[in-house]
Amino acid sequence: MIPMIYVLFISLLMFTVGLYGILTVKGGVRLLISIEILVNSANLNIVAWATMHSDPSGILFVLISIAIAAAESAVGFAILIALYRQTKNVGLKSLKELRW
Amino acid sequence: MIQYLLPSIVLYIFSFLTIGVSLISKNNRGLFATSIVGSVISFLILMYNLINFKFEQYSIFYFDFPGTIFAILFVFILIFVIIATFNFNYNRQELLYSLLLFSTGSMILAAYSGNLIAIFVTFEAASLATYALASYPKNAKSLEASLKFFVIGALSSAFIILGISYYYISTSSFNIGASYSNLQLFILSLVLMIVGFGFKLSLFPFHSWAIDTYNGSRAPISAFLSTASKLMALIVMIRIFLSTNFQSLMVGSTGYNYVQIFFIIISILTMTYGNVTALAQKDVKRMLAYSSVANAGYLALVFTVTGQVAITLALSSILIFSMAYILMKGGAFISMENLESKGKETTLDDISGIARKRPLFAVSFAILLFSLAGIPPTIGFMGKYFLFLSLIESNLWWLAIIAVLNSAISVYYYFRVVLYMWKEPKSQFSTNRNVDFVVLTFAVVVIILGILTPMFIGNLNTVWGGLP
Repeated sequence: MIPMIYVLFISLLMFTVGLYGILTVKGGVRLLISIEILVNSANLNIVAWATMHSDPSGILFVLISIAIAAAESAVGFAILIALYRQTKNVGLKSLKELRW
Repeated sequence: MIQYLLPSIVLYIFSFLTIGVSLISKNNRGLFATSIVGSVISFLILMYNLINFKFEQYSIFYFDFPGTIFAILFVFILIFVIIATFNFNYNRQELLYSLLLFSTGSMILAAYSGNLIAIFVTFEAASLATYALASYPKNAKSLEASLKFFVIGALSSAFIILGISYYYISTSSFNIGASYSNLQLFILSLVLMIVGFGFKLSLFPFHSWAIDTYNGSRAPISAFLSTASKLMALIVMIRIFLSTNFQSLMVGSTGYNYVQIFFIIISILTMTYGNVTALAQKDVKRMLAYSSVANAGYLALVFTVTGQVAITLALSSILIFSMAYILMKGGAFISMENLESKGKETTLDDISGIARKRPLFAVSFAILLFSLAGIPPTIGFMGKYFLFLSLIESNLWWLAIIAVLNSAISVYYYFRVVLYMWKEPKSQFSTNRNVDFVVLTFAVVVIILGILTPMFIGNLNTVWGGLP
């Protein structure tokens, strides 16, 4: 059995990678990939703990959360496609209409 | 149980029905009628539930009084947003109504959910619909607003799910108020959840999306986003942090003091930042967006109180303040539609002189602004009064003083808009009767509720009786 602390460490590493991705990438599609990594890091935590304690509610939560993440990326791609039709570009540098 | 689920089931059914109706009828009138009928039916069922109120508790849903009040507020703003969006004339307008109804249906369930699984699912279902809503005129400006909203929303949901995962590891349960085995991990999970829900509530370091999104979307959509979507995050946070089980578990323990201090710092920063930045804005819609950040700071004050008496008072005052917030902020954003629908900008110069041409609209908009500033006969004053009173009740009088000072700053920028409205007109104004009707209704309700509030605030304390 792998100790829980390793899982916590790996998931924290994944979360950091995803956060770094969101803050630095310049393309819309890569942004969605980073979001997916962020959500999966938390899922990893839950599924590891639920398996160790054989608790079905944790597994159930992870299944639901994967479905929600899929819906989320569907909405994200829809917005990106609408943006592409307007500006012929999905780069984040084209977003300069709203400034404070 | 079914009578409490029925309002959202009706909204879900009608959200699919609007798409079906759009296949048959060619103009927008049928769509409008369908969505209005759906939301009014849902509103009537909710009123029936409120009158025959009976507390019921299940493993994932708490059907209680505050949930019902918040559900009524969501459906109320939905009805008036639908009225104000009637003459949008977009291609595929049925999707707008469908998304609005779907999102409100999920918000009602979020207001009732009492378990982290239910909270996460309903919160995400409501949020996903609002990301698509924000894109609505589908020009470059609104799509940028929508993409920013989506990215920040997804980031916030990642923080929430990480918080939930640490909560689950430290308590082995998704129930609110479950006892923890590891304090550090538990506090970390609470802080992550505050950050995640704080993005949605637009608290200070996480607010920047709100300004762009409220400014970039069409005015009635901004009204919906800045009221319903924000109050959903508020009721979810209230369920987690002010529930009786959680309070009896946490109050007095060393870790909770840090959470409380975190809330105090965040609410002070949010109020001050929102009000000070709003002073410098030339654009009325952007000023309203900043003032909604400032109002989020007032809303977050409810989490800083301690002690059973103060919490009961704070909970009933937050109901009054939420009512006030949804009326005045929703009405103020919707009235921007009057300028926007003719392709105008919403700067102070554009609004100047509108009172000479359309006095009724100007007076009702001014009443909403007075309510936002907290001038006595309105409900905005009552909400702030009882909220600050509950702070004093829990010995946080210095925080109450900071809040009152902030409220005094905000008077300046609201009154400046009112003064501009009574200047000499520079351009022509056209009428949009639906928007005028909505703004007038909101202004009348703001005054009536402001006069009636002192009569029912005493009953509210007994009806509420604390969260489970």
